[in-house]
Amino acid sequence: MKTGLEGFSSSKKKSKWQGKFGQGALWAFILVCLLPLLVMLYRFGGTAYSMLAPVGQEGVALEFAFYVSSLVSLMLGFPMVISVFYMTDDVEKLLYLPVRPWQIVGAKFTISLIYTYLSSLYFLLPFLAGYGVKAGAGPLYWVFSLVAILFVPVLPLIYGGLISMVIMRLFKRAKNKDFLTVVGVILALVLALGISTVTSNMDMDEGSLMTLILEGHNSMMGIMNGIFPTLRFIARAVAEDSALSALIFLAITAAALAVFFLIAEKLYFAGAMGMQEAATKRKKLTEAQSRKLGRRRSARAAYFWKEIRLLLRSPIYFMNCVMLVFIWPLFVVIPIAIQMGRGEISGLGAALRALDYQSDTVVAVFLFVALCISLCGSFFNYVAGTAISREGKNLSFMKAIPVPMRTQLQAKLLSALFFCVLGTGGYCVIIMAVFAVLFGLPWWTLLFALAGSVFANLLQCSLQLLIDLMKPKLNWENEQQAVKQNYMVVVDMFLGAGLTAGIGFLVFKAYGWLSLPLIAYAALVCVLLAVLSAAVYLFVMACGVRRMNGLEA
Amino acid sequence: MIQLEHVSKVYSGVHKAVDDCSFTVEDGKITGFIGPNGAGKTTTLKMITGILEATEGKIFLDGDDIRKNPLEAKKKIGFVSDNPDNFLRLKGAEYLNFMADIYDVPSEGRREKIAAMAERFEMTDVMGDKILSYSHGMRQKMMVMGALIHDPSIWILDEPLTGLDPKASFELKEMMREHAQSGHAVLFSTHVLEVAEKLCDQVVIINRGRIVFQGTLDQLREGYPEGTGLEEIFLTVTEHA
Repeated sequence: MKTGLEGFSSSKKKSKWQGKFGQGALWAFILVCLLPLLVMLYRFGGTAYSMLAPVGQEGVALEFAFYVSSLVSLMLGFPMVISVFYMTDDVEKLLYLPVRPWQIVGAKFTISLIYTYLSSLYFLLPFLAGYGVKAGAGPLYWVFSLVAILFVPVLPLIYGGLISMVIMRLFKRAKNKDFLTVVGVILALVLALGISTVTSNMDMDEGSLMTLILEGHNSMMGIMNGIFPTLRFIARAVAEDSALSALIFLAITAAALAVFFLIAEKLYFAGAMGMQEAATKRKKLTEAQSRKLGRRRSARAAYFWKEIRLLLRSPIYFMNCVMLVFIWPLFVVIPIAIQMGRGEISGLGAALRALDYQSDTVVAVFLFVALCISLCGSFFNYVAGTAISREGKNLSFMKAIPVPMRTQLQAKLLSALFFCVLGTGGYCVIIMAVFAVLFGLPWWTLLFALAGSVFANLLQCSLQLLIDLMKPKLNWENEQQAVKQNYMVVVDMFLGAGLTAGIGFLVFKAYGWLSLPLIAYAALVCVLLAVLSAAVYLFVMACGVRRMNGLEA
Repeated sequence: MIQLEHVSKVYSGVHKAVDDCSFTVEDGKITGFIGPNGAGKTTTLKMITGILEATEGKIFLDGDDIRKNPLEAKKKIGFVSDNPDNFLRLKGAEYLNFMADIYDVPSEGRREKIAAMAERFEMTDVMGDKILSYSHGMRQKMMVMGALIHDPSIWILDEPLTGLDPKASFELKEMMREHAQSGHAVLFSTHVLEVAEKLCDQVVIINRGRIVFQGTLDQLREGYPEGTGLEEIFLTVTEHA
């Protein structure tokens, strides 16, 4: 615990007053960023209760909230668990201590749980508060809600821990251990999402569904449990003040933990020992290899490729900063594919063929979707948001080399933009190219989508870099702390979400004021993004150089 | 040549880590920078290399002011920091080429230079491996090679011999001697007084942020009975400072 929680504190020595004032202002800023989302979730909780209570199915809202929270905990928690369990530098220091494997795993599991609370709290707390206030809930509701907040993320993390232990045991001796681990994590996520979708019982026919709804008394609870069978008990405990359900939930969770620790006792050391070993070839470079590696580049290009290599080769950075922006389509494709397999989405092909792809409206919809994906994709990409923090003590290198700070910041921004545009605009261009070939979508839309993606991502990445420059986390012992204990990353996420919502709101308002064809609004958004991104970029470059000169590692 | 003129460094507005330091590292000489833990050695080296900004005073590197003309000044330095655990995910050859690009080393002769350095430090067989797979000493050698890739006129090394095996240690000391003999300046910090005794033409001793001695070792011994060890003299100098 001690080794895992270090580094939450500020990285720079400051005077007492400065420190307190800075911290206060920062938290106020974070709160302002979070407030709209918190209010929205609070209202959502209340509305869900109001809508479902009349048919006696209000518990489904709670089960849905716990299900989403569990799924998000699994998706975000799994890469984190594997990093905390195996890839932090403290692993080797713990191995020679006279402690049992389950004790190390227990401490690391607790750390992972605390990290998970940071994200699950944002979601569950306002939702449960909105629901409880609307329902006029009694004290037991609040007690069981607290139990839910504390223990719902346990099962997803147990899954994450178990899969991690199996992956690390399997790939321990592999040559490309880091690469295989990342592939294993992606496959496990896909598998978990697939199993979760398949095992949830939401594919019943309309008649059965109607009968279930009419039964009342929360009869629908349990239909979206999927791989989280404990959720029905905690949802019932909270919805109906059922102490028995709460006890069953806690008992199953405790049993799962006990089994997890038993397995950890057998598996953890097998994967952890020699984890820091790196494959070595001990072979002289061939003439061709030497020529390839020795290619001369400009300082900016060399710095850019250095960033790319380090991001791709460090599993912690890759899984926490880069991976999600590339695998997000899976979260959309897998449920759709499963539903199509079940025949639930029929006639999709016919509907797509029926559209007129030359019409302004259809084209505009494509462009808006592309712009929206580009704006949202950067929520999952923290390359720019951790660009300075990732340097840690190596910040001195940035200051010692004869490369202007502006050039170094540009290279860092460019590396973030590279991943963001590939993971958002890249996918859009591929899908639009398919539509252009199959259905005759105009080819110029691809160029538009790409340009829009570059502007949208430049704006988001510049903002993220600006925030990291304001308060970089430089004082860390292992890479995990640079990205996971860096709460400014959460600010990035919500600031990005706020910006996207703001642009959406502007378009909505403009649509009411002006009577332009829909495609003109897409063009307007693109121009707006170009102007905003250029302004923020110039601001970051101007302030960033000054800020970097003032930073001390 | 490195010149420090009344250089001070104050952290957080209160803690004076370096206090009014003035000394010169002459061309053609190896200068040892000695002092107890926390004396201000690393802070001083970081100010010389431009990593930290001096609160007061001026620093010149071959005539270039590090504050006014930082890029030109930095190009003249080859700096080896006390932490070799950098860029661990890059391969040795990638790291050296990255450093060569950063310091704008011409492509002509670059590969030959890297090969020669690798040969000298017995690193030829591991150039294609990631630095992560290297031992501490090998990482230190890689950092030294990276720092010297652009033939800097001024060498600044923070505890460069820590972790090096005898052969690499010998080679580095030889290289330092050769560099000084070719008319350039070498400044290195060390805790090991025997190394300083054998290698240095002059020493600068720092204690609690202040320079307490600068000169040759013979000058340092003046005033002490014959046969007094350097260790004893060092302890006396730093205790009475």
